Amino acid sequence: MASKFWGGDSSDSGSDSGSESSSSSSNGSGSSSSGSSSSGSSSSSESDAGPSKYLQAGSSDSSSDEGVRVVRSAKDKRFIEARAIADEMRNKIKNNDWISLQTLFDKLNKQLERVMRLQNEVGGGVPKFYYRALATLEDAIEATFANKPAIKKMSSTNAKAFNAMRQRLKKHQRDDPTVEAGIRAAHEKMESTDEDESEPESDSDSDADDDDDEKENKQSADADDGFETVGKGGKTKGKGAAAAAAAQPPKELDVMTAPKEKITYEMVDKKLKDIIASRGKKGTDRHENAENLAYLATVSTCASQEIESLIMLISAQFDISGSMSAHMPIPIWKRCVNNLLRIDKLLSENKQITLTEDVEPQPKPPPEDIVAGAPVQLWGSLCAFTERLDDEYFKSMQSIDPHSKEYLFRMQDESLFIVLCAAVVRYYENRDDATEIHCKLSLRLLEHLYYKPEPVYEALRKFATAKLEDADALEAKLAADAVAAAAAAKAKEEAKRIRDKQAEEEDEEYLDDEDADQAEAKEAQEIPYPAGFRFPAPSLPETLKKLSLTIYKDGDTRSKARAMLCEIFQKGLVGDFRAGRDLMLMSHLQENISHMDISTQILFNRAMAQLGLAAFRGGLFAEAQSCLGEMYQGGRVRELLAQGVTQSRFHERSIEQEKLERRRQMPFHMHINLELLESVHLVTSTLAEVPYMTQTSTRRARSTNKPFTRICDNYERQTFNGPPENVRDNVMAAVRFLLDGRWSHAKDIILGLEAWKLLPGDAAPVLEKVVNRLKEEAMRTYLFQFAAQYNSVSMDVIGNMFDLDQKSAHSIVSRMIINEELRGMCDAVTNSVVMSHAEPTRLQSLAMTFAEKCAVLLDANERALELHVGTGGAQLFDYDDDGGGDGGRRGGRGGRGGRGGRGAGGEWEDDGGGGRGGRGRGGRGGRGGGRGRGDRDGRDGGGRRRQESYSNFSTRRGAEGDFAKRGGGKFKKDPKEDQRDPTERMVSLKAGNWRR
Amino acid sequence: MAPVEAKTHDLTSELGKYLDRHLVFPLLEFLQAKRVYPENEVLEAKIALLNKTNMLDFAADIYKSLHNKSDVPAAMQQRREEVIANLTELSVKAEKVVNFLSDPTLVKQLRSDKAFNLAFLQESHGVGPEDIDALFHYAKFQFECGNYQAAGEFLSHYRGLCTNSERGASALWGKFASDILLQQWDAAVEDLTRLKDAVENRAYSSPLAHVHARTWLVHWALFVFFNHENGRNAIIDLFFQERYMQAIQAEAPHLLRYLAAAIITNKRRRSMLKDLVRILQCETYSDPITEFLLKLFVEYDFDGAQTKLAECDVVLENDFFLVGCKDEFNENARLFIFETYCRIHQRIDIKMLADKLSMDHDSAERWIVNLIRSTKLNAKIDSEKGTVQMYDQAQSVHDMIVEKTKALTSKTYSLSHAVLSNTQAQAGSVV
Repeated sequence: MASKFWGGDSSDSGSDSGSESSSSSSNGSGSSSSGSSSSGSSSSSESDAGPSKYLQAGSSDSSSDEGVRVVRSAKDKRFIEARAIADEMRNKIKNNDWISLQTLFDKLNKQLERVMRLQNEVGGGVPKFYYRALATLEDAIEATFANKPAIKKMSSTNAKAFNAMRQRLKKHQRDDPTVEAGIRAAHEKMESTDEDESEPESDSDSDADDDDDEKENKQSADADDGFETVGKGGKTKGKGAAAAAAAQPPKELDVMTAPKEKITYEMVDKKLKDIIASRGKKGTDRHENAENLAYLATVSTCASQEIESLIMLISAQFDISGSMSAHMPIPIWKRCVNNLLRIDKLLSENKQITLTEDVEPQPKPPPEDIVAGAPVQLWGSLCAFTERLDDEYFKSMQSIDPHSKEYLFRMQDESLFIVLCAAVVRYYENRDDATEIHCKLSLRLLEHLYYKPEPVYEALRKFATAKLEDADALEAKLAADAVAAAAAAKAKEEAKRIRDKQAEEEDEEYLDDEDADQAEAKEAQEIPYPAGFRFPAPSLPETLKKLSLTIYKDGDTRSKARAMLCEIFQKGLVGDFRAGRDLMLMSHLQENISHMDISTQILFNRAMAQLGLAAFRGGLFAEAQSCLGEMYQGGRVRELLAQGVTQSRFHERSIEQEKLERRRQMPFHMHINLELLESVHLVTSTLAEVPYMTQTSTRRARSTNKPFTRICDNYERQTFNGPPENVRDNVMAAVRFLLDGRWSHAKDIILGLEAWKLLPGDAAPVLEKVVNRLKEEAMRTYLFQFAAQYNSVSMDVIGNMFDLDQKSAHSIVSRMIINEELRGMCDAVTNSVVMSHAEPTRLQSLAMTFAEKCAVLLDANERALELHVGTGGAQLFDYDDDGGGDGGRRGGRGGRGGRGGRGAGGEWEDDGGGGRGGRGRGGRGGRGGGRGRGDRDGRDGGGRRRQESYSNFSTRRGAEGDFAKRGGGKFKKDPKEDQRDPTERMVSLKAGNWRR
Repeated sequence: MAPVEAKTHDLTSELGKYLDRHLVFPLLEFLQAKRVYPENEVLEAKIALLNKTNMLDFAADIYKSLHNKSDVPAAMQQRREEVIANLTELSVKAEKVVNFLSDPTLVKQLRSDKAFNLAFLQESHGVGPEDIDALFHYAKFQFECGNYQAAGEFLSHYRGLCTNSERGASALWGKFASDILLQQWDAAVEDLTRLKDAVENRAYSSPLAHVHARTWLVHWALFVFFNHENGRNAIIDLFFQERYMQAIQAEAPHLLRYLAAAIITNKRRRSMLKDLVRILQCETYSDPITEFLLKLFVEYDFDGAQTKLAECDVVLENDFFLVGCKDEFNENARLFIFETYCRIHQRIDIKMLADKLSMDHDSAERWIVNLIRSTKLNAKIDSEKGTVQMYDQAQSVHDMIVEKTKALTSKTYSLSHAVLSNTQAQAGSVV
């Protein structure tokens, strides 16, 4: 009865109850969708089961008559409700209220479901008013969408709701073809009633979405063309083409299903355009697109077409990963590399084909010519693809857990990338118009190689070569088989078949792509290497040299700097400190690095750290210290090397900053071991500083290694010192022993440090050098500390005490005497040192102090005047310039000025510098700020250092820091504050005196 | 033993890279005379050297003496003819200018204004720019032929006339070389300063090229430094200029030998010694002279320094530049050893000292007495025990205070002056 009721009304609405369950998996049954309404009456057994169950649960009465009765009343009610909702929707459309429309849409759907559920029992279609409501909705959406200003006028929530509504409607249609058909029908009907309002639905589909997709749609022209062709064919778009293919009319022989022999250029071309058109649209199955393209590439009729489809394929594969933060799935990455290599190979085989990047390619010649081998210009950039792949590789290394097997596998992939990069570099090498790109890629390649020690590189090379040979062998075997079989054509087919098979496999692989990483890694392992490519043959140094020479020749400043830093890093890695240092000095990178981008600064830091290690290995402890010391000044080593994040106490990072920082992180295998670095830093600092730590009065004045002295102070201040646990504690314990003259204990501790195992090369000779130096410094420390207690010491005795031979003992003592560190003389006859103790009398020492104070007073006066004069006059500008330079360079070696305010500097850097430390912090933290600070520090540097030896200056330091914090602009404009500063200082000086 | 030693520390090949062919020639002559290398090798080298120049007759002579033949290879003959043909061609081209220049009265009419000169030549003598160019080529050719006198003259005239700075610079180099080869040291010194200005002021295509130019300059300058009376001061001044020191460290560390020698022989530049030692410490280059300094001033190993000094003898003997200052070097080096020794030691056995300085007892004693008298060495000889007794040279407290307060007066004065002028200025600006 009901069916009859509906049947009259909805004769053309073509409903399908089976697909109403709206799951995309049921698409398979969509084949019947184009059928007539006959299917409406035939309800599947499954859908029968639902309602009957419902009814059983709903009422105890299972007789059909009663069921009908119940249904009818319920159905009517639902029906009326649904209608009301549809009416309300129409109102809301008028009011442009998309927020409530959204909820109404939901309600309507729910209602419909209920209606249908009841209806299914008796049979019947979707009510027509439903489609009408949807059609109206769609029209409204289209109209609004076309009217951009109107969207802009909407409130943000409303606009959001509008967009959401639009997407959902589209999805709704897509999920269920019947809906689409129904809407179209409703449209037609509405059109007949009022033509001017509605547009054909197919058009609306085509120009929707074009703008909100984030990938650049380079083929937009093609896309439109493609669409039209397809549109005429009446094919469903934006859907799995493979699935749709079945529904194609037979005369439109589809490439996807057609037998190989029958495929023509045009067919492939058409399909290609078709896929391109769907690219970037919401809901396009990216995997499927990629898959189809992969297939197209295998069946394409000529090289140019294959290249074209491969280029599209690569773009599609890039699309799969989608987001910027997540990395590309590894199997896809590998396939992408293979595709790129294939392009490269094709390009080298078919010289008539060229790729352009920046200019619009010339129009293509007619297909016959293309097949015949006429020159073709295609759009595409191997460089861009390669760079993108590199980025993706980097990203994946960042995100994979470095302790997993997966990471190892991923590291092996690097060889593949190197093969690719080398191939692409070769490609560009042959083109004379692409020196810039050539350099760019050379740099990429260089950055993959520079941090590798030779053995690692060799291993990688062997691995890759083996893989490549396997691939070659496979290819050769295939070829051989084919030759044996018969004609060459067949061989090709064989190869194709295998590739097809691969493609099939790929199909499956794509499906379970989102499975566990494990599977992914395994799968990635199985993707073979491409045949016919070679790993760059020459040894590592040669390769590096060649690359960097290329870059030095034509690169821009940044790539030159980076190449130079890579080379320095490499020199450090092999332990050639001098060469690295010379490069560093000659390139003047230290002065300029603060103006470079952060990633280059990180590279600089890495190179510096590596140089420090190299110096240490070469026994050049002072040099090692000066390389590493800077890095430890702010206590942000991790950040400077991009090997992790330090939580700062003073500064909270915003989420964006953190994200940025995370993106900069180095992958684990590129890390420089921090424990080793710290050990080297602390041990070299110990060797340099400890002898002077005994002289309490002058120590601060000469010490340039503030972080180290701070650590020592902290350690000494502690009431109890537990047994040493980390590197720092160990070294501090060693320092204590050294100060006490027990050098052998110190030696044991230092040699016992764990990190030495990580020293590249043979650690033993390095450690021997450390021990020798330790002995010398211990002896010096001892002499400093205890000379006053001796009247004379025999060289033998003191030499034995520190396990030194007489000659070196003599040389040390001599040096100390010459440098006036030891007051005494050698007695050549008795071979001993005679100490002279000329203690000044009380009066003399007071007179000395007085003279010193006078000098300080004069100094303070001078500076007071300087500030005073400086505020108004042009003199200040000179200072400003100087100071700015200093501030900017403060990370650099010069940092004279910067050093003065170091104690306070730590704090305010956090305030001013922002999230990222780095070398150029001063320079970047705003020109003005940096300058102001530099200015202050620069001026204070000399004076303060002098003062520190006389008065307890540390109390002043906080205030100084505050002052610096106020920044540059204020500093200049507010003379009063400036004047106050020196006077305050004088007061504090006085206080210092009194305290004394 | 000795020749082997000499060879290992011979720098001719290193220096040759940075010298003009003609400048290398004296070095080869020297080597031949000292017999550091087998004579044949040196002669071969000479021929190779001369073959590229135009001094082919000379080359032919050497060839004859080397191979004991009366004829020379055809290639040489042929080149000789070519050279002669070239010479006539160039001299014809340059005839006009040369004629003009050979008349002193005409030359006097030239002024220091280049533009004027050019116009003057053009007008009254019909000498155009191409003639002046021809002069340059002619001069170059003369130089290649070994006719330095003429080349030098022409080049100095050319410099007065040329407008092309590139050519001017290269003419300057040519003039410098000619002066060196003619041993006109005063003129060479002048050229050197001029050339240095030119090198510093010229814009080079890359920093590297600039460094190269400096390296060349310091090499050529060696000829001047070790032959001119004031050269040893000049070498220290030049080498210690930061830019030149960088060039030396980067490209030619072997030049440190000459710097070291210059400092050791130059009593007035003691203060530089510390800087030099610091530089030497971070360089990898070493030869007996630099090692001597390191032994003495870094390790304070007097015996080691002594042996190194002996090695230095051989090196100095066989070095073209340093052979002249050998005795001076020895004397000064010994003095260095002794002084340092005295500063460290309280009591010295004269006998041991005599051994160290390779003198006999009496002359050593005399030497010390002289030192005590001349350098105010605070020491006494204890002839009974045969020792020298040093006395503490530490500054007395009184001296220290005087030292510290010395500057106070003048500083205060300048301070008050500054305050005064500042307030006046301010008062002025207010009014």
